[in-house]
Amino acid sequence: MSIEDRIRAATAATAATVGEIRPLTLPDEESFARPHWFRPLPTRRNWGGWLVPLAAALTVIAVAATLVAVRNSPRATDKASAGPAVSHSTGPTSVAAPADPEAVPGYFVAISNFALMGPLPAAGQSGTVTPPRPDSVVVGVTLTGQRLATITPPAGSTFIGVTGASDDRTFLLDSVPVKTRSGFLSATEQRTWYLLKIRPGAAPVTTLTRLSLPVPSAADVDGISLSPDGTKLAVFYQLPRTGDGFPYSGPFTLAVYSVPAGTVVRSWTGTDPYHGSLGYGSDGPPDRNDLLSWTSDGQHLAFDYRSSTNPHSDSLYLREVNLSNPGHDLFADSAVVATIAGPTPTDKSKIWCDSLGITGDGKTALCGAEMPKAPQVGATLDAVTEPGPWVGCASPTDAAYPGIAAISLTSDKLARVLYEFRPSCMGAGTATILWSSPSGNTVLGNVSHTDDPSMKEHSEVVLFSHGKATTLNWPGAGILLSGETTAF
Amino acid sequence: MDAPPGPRTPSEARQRVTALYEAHAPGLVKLAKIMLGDQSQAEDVVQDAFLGLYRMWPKLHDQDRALGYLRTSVLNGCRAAHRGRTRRARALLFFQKADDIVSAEESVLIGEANRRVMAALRALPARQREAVVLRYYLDLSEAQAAEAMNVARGTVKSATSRGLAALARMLKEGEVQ
Repeated sequence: MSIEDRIRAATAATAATVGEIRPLTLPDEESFARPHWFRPLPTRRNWGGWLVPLAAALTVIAVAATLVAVRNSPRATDKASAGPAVSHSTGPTSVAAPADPEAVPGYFVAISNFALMGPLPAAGQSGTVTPPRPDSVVVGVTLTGQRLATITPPAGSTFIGVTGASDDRTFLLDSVPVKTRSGFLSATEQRTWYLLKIRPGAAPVTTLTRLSLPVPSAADVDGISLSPDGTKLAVFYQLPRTGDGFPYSGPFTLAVYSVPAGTVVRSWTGTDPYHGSLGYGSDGPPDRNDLLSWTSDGQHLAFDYRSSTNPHSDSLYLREVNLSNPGHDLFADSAVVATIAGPTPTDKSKIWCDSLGITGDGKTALCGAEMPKAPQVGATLDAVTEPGPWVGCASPTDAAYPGIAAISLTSDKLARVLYEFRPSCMGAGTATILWSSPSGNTVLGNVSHTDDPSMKEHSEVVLFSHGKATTLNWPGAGILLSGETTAF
Repeated sequence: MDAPPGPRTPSEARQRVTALYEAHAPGLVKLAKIMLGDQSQAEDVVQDAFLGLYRMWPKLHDQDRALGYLRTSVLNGCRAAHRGRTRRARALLFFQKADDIVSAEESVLIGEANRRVMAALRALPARQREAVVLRYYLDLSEAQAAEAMNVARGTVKSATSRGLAALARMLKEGEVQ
C-alpha cells in the first residue's frame, strides 16, 4: 500500500471514531448587537487608507545597474553550456578576499526547481509518488540574470545543496542518487561533493571537481556552509541509530572539513533527547545553506538550533562555536548569541525569523523576518514571539509582513528593519536571507507573499544597499534565487 | 453555499450560523480530531471557529465563503492547540509507546497500522500535517488546500511533499513503494 493510501485509510478510520458532538453554544443576541459589532464594513478604500501609503513608502523600484558597484563584474560572455566534465582532484587553497566587501556578488549558483519528489497523484486518486527529476544548477549574473552555464548532475543523481565562498567564484555542491524504487529523495543517502569554480572569460566558464570529504555515509545532512576563504566546509548532520525512525535519536554533529585536504578539522557532537533540530526542523533535502554562517575570519561558526529543552518549546537559538576554543560538545562548547523566543500563552506577535545568521563581522544577526506593521526597533527579543497565522483580508492580523531585520548581538535587540513588504491585502509571507556583506549593510533576501484571496504567489529578490531597498527586476529572479538552494 | 447573503441581524446570524453548524460541524470535528487526536479538544476548536464566525458575521464580506472561513479557523485552532506540544510529541513518539499519543480507545478502533500512521502524522510540523490531511483526507486540490491554509499553491506542494517524505521516513522508508 502506498504512503498516500495509508494516510487515507488511517485518517478515514480516525474520522469514523468521532461520536456525537455537543450543540453549538452562542452568546446572547444582546451582546452580539453591541454597536461595535455592527460598525460599517471597511471598504476597500478604508483598507487602502492605512496600508497603501506604507506600502508605497516601501515600494521597491527596479534596480539600476549603476546603483550598486558590482564586485569583479563578470567579463564572461559564455552562454549556457552542458556543463563541464567532472574531474577528480583535491580542492583549492584559500580564495582571494573581495576587493570591496560591500559590493554585491557578481554571480549566483542556484539549484533550479528543487523537488523532493515527483508529481503527486491527482486529488482523490491513489497511486505512488514518482521520483523527482534531477535538478540542474544554474550559474548566472546576479544583477542581470544572464545565464552563464547550466550544470546537469551526474547520471542517476540530483543536486541537493550549494554554498559559496566570499569571492563569488568558488562554490561547493553536493548530490545524492535518485532511486527509482522510492518516490522521495532520501535524507540519508551518501552525498557526493563537488567544487565549482566560475572562470569569467574562459571556456568552459565553469569547472566542476569532485571532492572527497569524509561525511558519514548514513548522515542526515541538515545544513552546509563554505567558509569565506573557501577552504573549510561546515556540515551539520545527524546520524540515525540502528533501527531508528525519523526523527532520529542519534547525536547531532557540526563538523568542519578541510576542502583541500579532505579531512575533519573540527567537530562538535551532542545528543538532544528532545529531538531538537537545525533551524525549524530539517526534514530531509535540500541541504540548506541558510542555517549555518561564518564570520569573515573563519574563526566563528554560527548555527540555528531549535530545542524543546526550554519552556519556550519552539524557541530558536543562534548558537556559535569558536574554532580556536577547545571542546567537542555541540551544546556545552557553543554559546547562545541570539534567541528568538517561541510563542507565549497570549501569542502576542512581534517578530519571527524564517532564517537567521550572523554577519561577517560577528556583530549582527540578520533575520528573514515576519514582522508587525510597525516593528519596535529596540525591542528585546525575549519578548518576541512567532506571529499568529495571517488569515487574509477578511480578518487581517498585524503580525506577518515579510521583510529583513537586523538583530544586535551585543544587546539581543531588534536593531534595524532593512526592508518590510506591506501589501494592502496578503495571504501569507516569508523571507530568507540569501547573502550579506560582512557589515550587514548590503543584503540580498528573498521575500515572498501571496495575494488574498487569489493565493497567487509573488517572490522577489530584495537588495538592500546604501540604506535603500530595491529589487532585482530580471524575470524569474524571485523564483530561481530561492532561499536554501542559492549561493552567491 | 449554505449561507446566502442577506440581512445581518443578530437573530438571522444566529440562525445561519446554527444551520452551518448542523451541516458542517461533524465534518470539521473529524478534521480537528485527525489533527489533534482528541475529540473533546477537537470540539472546542470547532466551537471556537463557529463562535468566531458568529462574531464576524456582520463583517463577513462574502458569506458564501463561510465554510472556507470555518475550515481555516479550525486549522488555525488546531495549530494553536498543537503548538508547544509538537516537539514534545515528536520526542514521545520514539521514547514512549504510540498509545501515549493515540488514545487506547482509538487504538482499538482504528487498528495498529492506522495508529502508527496517525502517530506519525501528528508528529509532523503543522504546515506539513495540514497539507497532507487536506490533500489526502479531504481530497482537496492544491488550490483548495492553499485557500484553507492561507498559503500559496507552491507552499502546499512543497509542504505535502515534505510531509509525505517525512511520513515515509517515520514509517520506515523500505515500506514506501
